[in-house]
Amino acid sequence: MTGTALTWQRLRDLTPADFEAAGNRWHAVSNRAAADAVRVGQALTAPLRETQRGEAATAAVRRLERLRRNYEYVRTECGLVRTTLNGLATDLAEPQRRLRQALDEAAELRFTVHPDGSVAYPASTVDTLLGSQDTPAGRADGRGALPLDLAPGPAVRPLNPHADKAQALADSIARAVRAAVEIDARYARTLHGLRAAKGLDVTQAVLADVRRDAADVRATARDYLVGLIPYEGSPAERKAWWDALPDEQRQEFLRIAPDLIGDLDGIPATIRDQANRTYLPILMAELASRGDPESQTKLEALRLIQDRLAQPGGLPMYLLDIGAEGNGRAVVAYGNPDTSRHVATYVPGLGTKLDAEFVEDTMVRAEDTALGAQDIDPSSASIIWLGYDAPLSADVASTGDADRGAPAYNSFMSGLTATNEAGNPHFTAIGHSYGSLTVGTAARQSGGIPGVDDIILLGSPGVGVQKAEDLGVGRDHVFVGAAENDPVTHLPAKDEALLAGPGAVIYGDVYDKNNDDLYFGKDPSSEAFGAQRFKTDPGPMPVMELGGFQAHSQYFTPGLDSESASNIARVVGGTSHRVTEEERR
Amino acid sequence: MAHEQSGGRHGPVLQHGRDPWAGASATAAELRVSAAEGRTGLGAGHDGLTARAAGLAAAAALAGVLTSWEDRLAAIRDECDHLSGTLRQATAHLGEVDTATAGAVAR
Repeated sequence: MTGTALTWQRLRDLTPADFEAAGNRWHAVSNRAAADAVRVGQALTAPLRETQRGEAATAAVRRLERLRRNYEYVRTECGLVRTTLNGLATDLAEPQRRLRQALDEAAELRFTVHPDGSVAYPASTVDTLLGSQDTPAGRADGRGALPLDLAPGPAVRPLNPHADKAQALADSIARAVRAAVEIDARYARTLHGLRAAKGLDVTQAVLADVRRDAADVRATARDYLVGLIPYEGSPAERKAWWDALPDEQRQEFLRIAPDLIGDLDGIPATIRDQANRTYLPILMAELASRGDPESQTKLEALRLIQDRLAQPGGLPMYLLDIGAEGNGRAVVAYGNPDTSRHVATYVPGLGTKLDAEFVEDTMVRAEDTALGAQDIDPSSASIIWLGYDAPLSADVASTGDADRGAPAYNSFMSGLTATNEAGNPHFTAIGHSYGSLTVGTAARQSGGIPGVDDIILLGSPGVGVQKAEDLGVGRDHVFVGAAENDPVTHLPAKDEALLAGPGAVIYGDVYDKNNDDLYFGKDPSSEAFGAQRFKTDPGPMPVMELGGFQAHSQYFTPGLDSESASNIARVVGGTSHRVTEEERR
Repeated sequence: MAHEQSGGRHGPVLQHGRDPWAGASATAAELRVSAAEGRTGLGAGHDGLTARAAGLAAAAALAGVLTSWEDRLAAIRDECDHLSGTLRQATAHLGEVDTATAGAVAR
């Protein structure tokens, strides 16, 4: 037995639910403090501030403000105590279950478990080559270490057939106790930090403690919180889970583990937004503590996002995901996608990552789309979905990123269908550049892109299918914007590129008779593909007019290509019959 | 109800109405009761817990956490009590000596 006071008897007799019951009391105090904080503000401070002037009123208001901060302190910290106690109860239940199972087995076999955890077994008679032999009773000491850590057993083993079983049970008992001791120590440390500061002042140091406490509780009780989430379920099932969750548990997630639900498909947009706004400063602090340039790039982008979220006016923004994994994650909606009749979700392409350009350019494209669609039907929202790693340069582009992104995109869209309350909403998937391959790949998965009625492919290097009807929405619902001077829409097929090298853009015709095969399949703007090609501005010539990739980057922007931006808005806003048509290639 | 008591162009402007002070005093009294009830309920939820969870370091830590918050809630309760009293006094003495009231509140 270890030196702790937690014995197997105590673990056996423990009632973990006691901690849950105590946790409910902490929750009640936390709730009461939340209500009292509001009363201080509304029934005390506000009327005094509005109607009274003079030193007495100023002094009273200052003192009431201190009281209100006390209630905020109580609300937050007592909420943390509650989560910690729930986590403790949940985490202790598992070793207790394993212990009780071992004790039951020992009792069935008529073994005796001694106070020190050793297991005694009775004498037994066994048949051997030498005839029947009596083997003596014995006792096995528990070993808390995991099986792989154990030294090999003694060379001469007792013959008593009970010995192995007794040893296994003693080991199980010791391991269960050791696990409980570790859990106990972890939670004790966390609880220790949750003691109230003395007095009534809520100083900066106290507030810093509160932030540390929240991070500590998040780490300690993470398994418990993760265990509550139905990750295996469909987004619709997660939505049902969230709807059925008692309010106090929802608050627990929002306050303590916002990162666990901020990116969970099936959780309503307003909740994801609330969770991600809480998580944003936490993620920023984490990135700030890392020194590498990549983290600094992401941090800069998040700062810019934070500024935009705080700006008054403009379209309401919903932060549906943020993350530092891979090249960074950011999913932002302009307009509420759960209450809008029309929702577009735009997958960005080549070179997109969580950086300043993403915020200042890529996100603005989604905003422009929302504004355009709202001119047609005010009940429209538009989302920029950076929920995958796009390839960062053309020479590393393969279908791998699209293959990995497609299931994530479909899960996100499935979440939207579960949370949208507009009744028979109209969804549009937009893929730009490499993002069109991701959309095409998503459409090819079984069942297609959940909920999607129309697909728009912009500046596409091919979408992995040969015909528009293969995208699952009917060829009349596949729209293509391909600017004449957009070099990406003229990339040669992959095998042609291999044969001809970089010059294949120019010599493409030699290898591809109809010149309608692109890097990732049939040119979506071609006759053979059969989609609806809409008018776009041709854009500046890449070489002659020094346009570079400009023609590839202006489809969404009314100031640069109003024809294309209007056509996108028409499709997204549900009036696709009004797009201006362009002849196919 | 509000009436101006002037301090002229350069002095502080005093503007009082009796009702806000009286209402605030009553609310502070209710908050005192709320803090006291919360404190009692919290303690009651832990009766016997430490004994039943003997051997757990977390139970001992929880006992320390409980005591510290009972103290904090008692301090909040007393603060509400004090505020209720001073705000009531402010109603009674309003218009007499503003600075004296300020002194009492800020004490």
